[in-house]
Amino acid sequence: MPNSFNFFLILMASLATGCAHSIQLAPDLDDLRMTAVSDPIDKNVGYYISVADRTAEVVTPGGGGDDVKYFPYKDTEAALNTMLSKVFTRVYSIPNLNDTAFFEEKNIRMIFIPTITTDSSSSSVVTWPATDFTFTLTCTVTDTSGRKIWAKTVSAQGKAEFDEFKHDHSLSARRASEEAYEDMLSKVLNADVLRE
Amino acid sequence: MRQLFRITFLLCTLIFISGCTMTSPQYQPDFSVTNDLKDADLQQVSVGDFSSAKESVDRISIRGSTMISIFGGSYSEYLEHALVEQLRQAAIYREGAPIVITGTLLNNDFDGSGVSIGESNIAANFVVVKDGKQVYSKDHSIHHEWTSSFLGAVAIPNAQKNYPIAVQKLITEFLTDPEFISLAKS
Repeated sequence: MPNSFNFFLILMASLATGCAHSIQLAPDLDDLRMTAVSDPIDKNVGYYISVADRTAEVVTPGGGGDDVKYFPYKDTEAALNTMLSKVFTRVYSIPNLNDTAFFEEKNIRMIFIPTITTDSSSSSVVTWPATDFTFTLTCTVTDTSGRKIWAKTVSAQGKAEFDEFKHDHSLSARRASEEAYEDMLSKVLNADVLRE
Repeated sequence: MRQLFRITFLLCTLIFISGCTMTSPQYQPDFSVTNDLKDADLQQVSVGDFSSAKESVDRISIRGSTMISIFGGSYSEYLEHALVEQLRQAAIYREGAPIVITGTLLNNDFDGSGVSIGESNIAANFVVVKDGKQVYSKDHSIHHEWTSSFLGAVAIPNAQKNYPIAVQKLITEFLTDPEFISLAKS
């Protein structure tokens, strides 16, 4: 009997433990694509996301004692590529920061290195999706020798209520990442040093 | 004691076999091929309708849980939208372009029941029409495997996450076909 009771307790404890639910931060790219850019920059650029970053799964709080988990770099790489493609002639994904032959072959003049930090929370105790999501994006730009040319950080907050996120559990996160990349686009467009 | 065991066993069984519904993850483009596509000097292409060869391609079940396509339950539409996104990321997509890609999803086997390995076999026929004339029609298929688990709580999300990767492989197979590259060249 004590053994059965212990087994039952373990079962209940394991079921009651909060779990982490998968969401995707990939923003809706339509607005970013439709942003009018009157003065693009005629240069080829690259962006670099390390393998460690691309495969990094991040866990932050959701609601009801549960967490949400996601891949910030992998989920938003399309947004980064889209944002840079709005400004520059050609954008390449760089496999290795030391591959100077690759830079020369593609005529790459600058390299964008994103750094993403996130946080989330929920005002709900009964549903797990995050009602509030913070997405902070830093773009550091170097020349092909690694010398830092420019860096800018933007931060955006996405909010979603139950009626909205019941159809899209990632909504607050998508809103935050979309706003951050749109904000970064305007920062890149206004950075005179990137035009020199 | 025996009764308590029975109740616990029944409770466990109910919890673990209860089927639920989930949606397919959003497609993530394969950026390992976008560099090559950008440098291939391809003409802009557009994407027409993709259809399903049979009803079963629109049904995916992972250990009793149904995974519904985010595009109205249609996995041929999922493939169509995935292809559009892949082409957009490579900067070679333009709506209304004279090179039009259409297709038929022939096979969409997705098996997450394995205790150590999950696997999928996806196949589609891709058709390219250039200036109103069909210039390409070829079946492409892929086999994709991922790490699975005895535990449904691990195996189901793992399988779910791997569907876009399997679709990536199929699209890459088509877009890197030298025959397609050659006819899409400027």
